Amino acid sequence: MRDVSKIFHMGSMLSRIRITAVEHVSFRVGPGEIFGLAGESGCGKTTLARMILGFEEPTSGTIALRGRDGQPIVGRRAWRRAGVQAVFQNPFETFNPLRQVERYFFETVQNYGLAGNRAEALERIERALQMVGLSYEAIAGRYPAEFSGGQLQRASIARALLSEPSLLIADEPVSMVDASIRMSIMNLFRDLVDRLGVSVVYITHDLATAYYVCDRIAIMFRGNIVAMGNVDKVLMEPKHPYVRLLMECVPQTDPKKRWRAKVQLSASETEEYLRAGCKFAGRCPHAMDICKQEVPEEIYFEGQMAKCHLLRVSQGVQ
Amino acid sequence: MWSVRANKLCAAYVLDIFGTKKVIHAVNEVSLELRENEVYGIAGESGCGKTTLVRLLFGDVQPPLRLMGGRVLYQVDGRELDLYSLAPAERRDLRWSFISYVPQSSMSNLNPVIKVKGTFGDVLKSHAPHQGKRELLERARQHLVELGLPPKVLEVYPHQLSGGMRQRVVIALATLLSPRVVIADEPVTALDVVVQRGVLQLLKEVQERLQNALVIVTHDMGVLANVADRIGIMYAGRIIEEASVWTIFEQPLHPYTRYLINSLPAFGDKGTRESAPGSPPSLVELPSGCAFHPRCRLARDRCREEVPEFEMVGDEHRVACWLVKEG
Repeated sequence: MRDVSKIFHMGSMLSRIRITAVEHVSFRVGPGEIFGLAGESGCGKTTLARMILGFEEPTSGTIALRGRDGQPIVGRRAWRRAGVQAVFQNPFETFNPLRQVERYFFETVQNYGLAGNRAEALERIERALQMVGLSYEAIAGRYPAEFSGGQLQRASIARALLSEPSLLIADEPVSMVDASIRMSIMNLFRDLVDRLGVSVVYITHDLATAYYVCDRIAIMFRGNIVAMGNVDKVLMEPKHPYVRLLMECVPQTDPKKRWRAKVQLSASETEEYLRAGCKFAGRCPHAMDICKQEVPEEIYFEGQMAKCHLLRVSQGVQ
Repeated sequence: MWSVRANKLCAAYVLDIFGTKKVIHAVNEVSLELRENEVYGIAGESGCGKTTLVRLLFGDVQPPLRLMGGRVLYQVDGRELDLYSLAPAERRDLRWSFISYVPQSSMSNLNPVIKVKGTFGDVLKSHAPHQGKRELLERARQHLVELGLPPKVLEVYPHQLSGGMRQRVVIALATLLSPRVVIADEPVTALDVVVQRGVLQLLKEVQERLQNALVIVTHDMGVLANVADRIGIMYAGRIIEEASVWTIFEQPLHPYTRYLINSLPAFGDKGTRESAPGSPPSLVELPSGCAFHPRCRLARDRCREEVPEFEMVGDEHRVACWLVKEG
């Protein structure tokens, strides 16, 4: 094993109305790992992704990144070339409809100085496209509208792979792709990780696909990671009441597992963001006095971590 | 008892692009029946014609969409009405009172410049022209309380509500006049799982109270597994399989339905899921014969040549597939 690791450490990011979009979040993604970042909309997962991509500066804390060779990556240009590349949600919005898709590939090669001449560039592009099951012939001269959603998302992934980054950030990469080919994109991520040793941060609100593809997962709630660890542990043996609520609300694709109990909805996002102590306390069925005053600490179990006062009480830890 | 019946419904978008005529066959020979006291789910991928189908059932046909054939029948208080032979005024009277439609991204369907109560007032006024303003408002308030929503939402503008609340307000609006049929097009797409569950819970509650027909159009099979009684699977403008929710999930017969069900990720099972090869066809140039044949591993000659009939194969189970018919 090469010692490639990426350490993210971020502190509170204060915006003008002082909403802490991401609050004291730390995690690391190992080489060749698919790390899930799941949570509801407005939980700060996209802000986190934007900071990793370098679009946004963290207010405090640091983010470090290592290349595929294990060396730390320093500098803005290198960060985006050998470091991290993104795959976005809707491939039809990723690409300008009036530009041929291949131009994005040549542009990427040129911008990062990846090839000396056109032949080299072509070879590199062909290699990246082969990796996602396409070929240069299949995309040459075509506009985004001439592709199906699945093909275009594959092309978008291939473009991200051109600069051989050590990390891919995939922000809801399948939510706009047709259901019947969604799993082939998920399988592609698995395959890329196995073959290239690239790491993937998979950002989603869909816990079922996250369970399918991820090795480890972090569940975010209102800017905090409330639970993190091995995906089997976090989702199948949920400790945090919020994760339990989420798991109960995911519609299971089995009529035998229909919902029975009723669910309570949150009053307002802003209110939850500004809450002192545990942000989930307002909706938590087990909320205690301490939850409304103090931010819970991280409590470690076998294979997972959860931030909840309740767990400390039940464990009897002081 | 049935409320709405569609018979061999065909519709297409006819576009004229710089003199070239382009015909998009969005709905092809769809027959279905919506019954009292049931939740009917329509599932399919984007661009398979599911929204067009429900717009036809609702009677919302505007150019470039054109009805090419077939009939839609409503059963209103024991009378049978042919939707497309009714006068526009009669059709308008049936909207909201007999059938109501919650369009996709209904978040943006509330008028942003009037308060929610204004929109409620408009709907009520058009169907109860003689009632006073105060009475109408009281009726709207009562309806919201019955659905467990805070009546204060009437006093605010749509942008002051969260996405989930807006969706629930639109559902309240659609059920205000106790319609016999409610059509919800992608009611929970773009909502968070917890909110999604709350909205589905509300839809189901209203349906149980009114004992009417609820149609849920979605691409999310998980949603249907949780709320639907019967499901119709759409592919390339046709319903290719229809059965009870149990049959669809446990004994699907059409190869497309099988792919759809088998590719769903499940908790506790990390085994590799295969999705169907290829991608959905364009509705402009539909493949010959069965539209699924280019993606079907079991396709035979007949599948390439003839469109399979949508036939009953079991109790309440209809399938359009040569393989099933010929064994």
